[in-house]
Amino acid sequence: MTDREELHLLSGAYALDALEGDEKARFEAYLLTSEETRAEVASLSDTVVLIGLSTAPVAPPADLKARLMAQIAVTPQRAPLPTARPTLSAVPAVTTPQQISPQQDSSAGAVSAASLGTTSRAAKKAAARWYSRPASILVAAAAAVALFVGGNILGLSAGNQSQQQAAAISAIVSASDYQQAKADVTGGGTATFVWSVGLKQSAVVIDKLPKLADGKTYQLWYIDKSSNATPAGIFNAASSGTTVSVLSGAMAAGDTLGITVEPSGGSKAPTTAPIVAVQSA
Amino acid sequence: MLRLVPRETDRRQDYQSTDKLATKETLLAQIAGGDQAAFGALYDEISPRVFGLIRRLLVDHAQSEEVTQEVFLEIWQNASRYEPSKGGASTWILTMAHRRAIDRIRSSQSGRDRDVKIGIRDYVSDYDNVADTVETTIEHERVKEAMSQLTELQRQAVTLAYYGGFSHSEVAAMLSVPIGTVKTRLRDGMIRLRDELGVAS
Repeated sequence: MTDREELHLLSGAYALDALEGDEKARFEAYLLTSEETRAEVASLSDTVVLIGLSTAPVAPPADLKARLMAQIAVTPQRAPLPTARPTLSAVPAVTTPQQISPQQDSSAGAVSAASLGTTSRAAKKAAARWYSRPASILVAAAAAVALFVGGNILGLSAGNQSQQQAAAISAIVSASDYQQAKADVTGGGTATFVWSVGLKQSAVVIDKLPKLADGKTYQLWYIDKSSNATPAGIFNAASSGTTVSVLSGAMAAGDTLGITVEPSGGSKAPTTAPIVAVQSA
Repeated sequence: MLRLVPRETDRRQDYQSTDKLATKETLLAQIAGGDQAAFGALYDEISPRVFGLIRRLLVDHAQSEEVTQEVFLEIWQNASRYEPSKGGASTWILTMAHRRAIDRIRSSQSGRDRDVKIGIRDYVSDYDNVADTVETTIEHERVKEAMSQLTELQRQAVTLAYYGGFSHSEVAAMLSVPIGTVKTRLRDGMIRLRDELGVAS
């Protein structure tokens, strides 16, 4: 396959905003040179919009309009593009502080300050719970957990496991109560936890997770509201790129989802501080 | 409350060819000329769509509100750059809304503060807007029906990308398939949806 043919195949991913970085840039450059691909992307983008229109409309808070009306009154507008470029990038580039008015600039500052205030709320709550759990409860949890060790999914063959994993993750993300939270992993990588309380299932997707030394493994945990830790499977870092693991066992609303580094084979209760944890509510 | 509200008038209307949307395009032209009242009218018309979509992706109410605000400011600032020849106003605006929500998901800082609430996405008994009624519409039924025509892998890939905001390499890892397969499934899945939904190609 030529490069151009290969790029053409990215039309669907591009329309869904699923391309990132260099690949997106390469595709956009290619778009300038291919009328056929532009037409395809246009029709697929229209289709994506229909998916958007199928989402239930929700009235925004009443005061948002008033704030926007006040904001636009003092926000300058951009001039039209000098020439109509043959691209589909009808959506303008991300607004940078340099490009916007002082009024907007200050509001953008306020927005990011507000965001900072809530940064990693889930992770902080999780940390508080993790570190406050009493040792006595841990022992009880370990005893309770021992009963369930036979029920985990570690014995499945690789092929089976991949299919089950794909089906489980897809079910989670398609659930009407699907949620996700992202957090940095101590030691490297970014973890995205996805879950559905209705399905009692969760999974984690980690970019750039480092490989562990021999004799160590990553282990997943559910920690409930009473700080009982339940093992939810062990896994190793993928040889390249993205590591994915579905947590075994049943998740409950409000559980904290976490990962520790444990001796090979896993532990009955966490023996180290979590490298990442988020609270699901 | 979830309530099915069929709007028969929508059934025969392609979203890109309705009077209503011609109005949105006209409004955008007026906004490009600095018309603040036109901006207010456009906001009234489409903000529930924009906010509903962004909240479906981000879940968190406060963040969804922030991103909605950013999107409408962009509409104000860039209205002059909207080109009707390249698509309807709804396409322009909802594409922007989806992209901004995804930007928010992917930025590592805000990814972490993507809040976790017990938010029932589609069945919001709306605690913030008591008077607000969440409707499922004809579009919802049509898209659901079209989605059911996809293969399982196509549907999974499209869902993870669109609603989860995952990149195609993340989708590949999540579905345990090669990245090349995800590329083609996203493409042939979207082509199938396009054809099922009768979007002009």
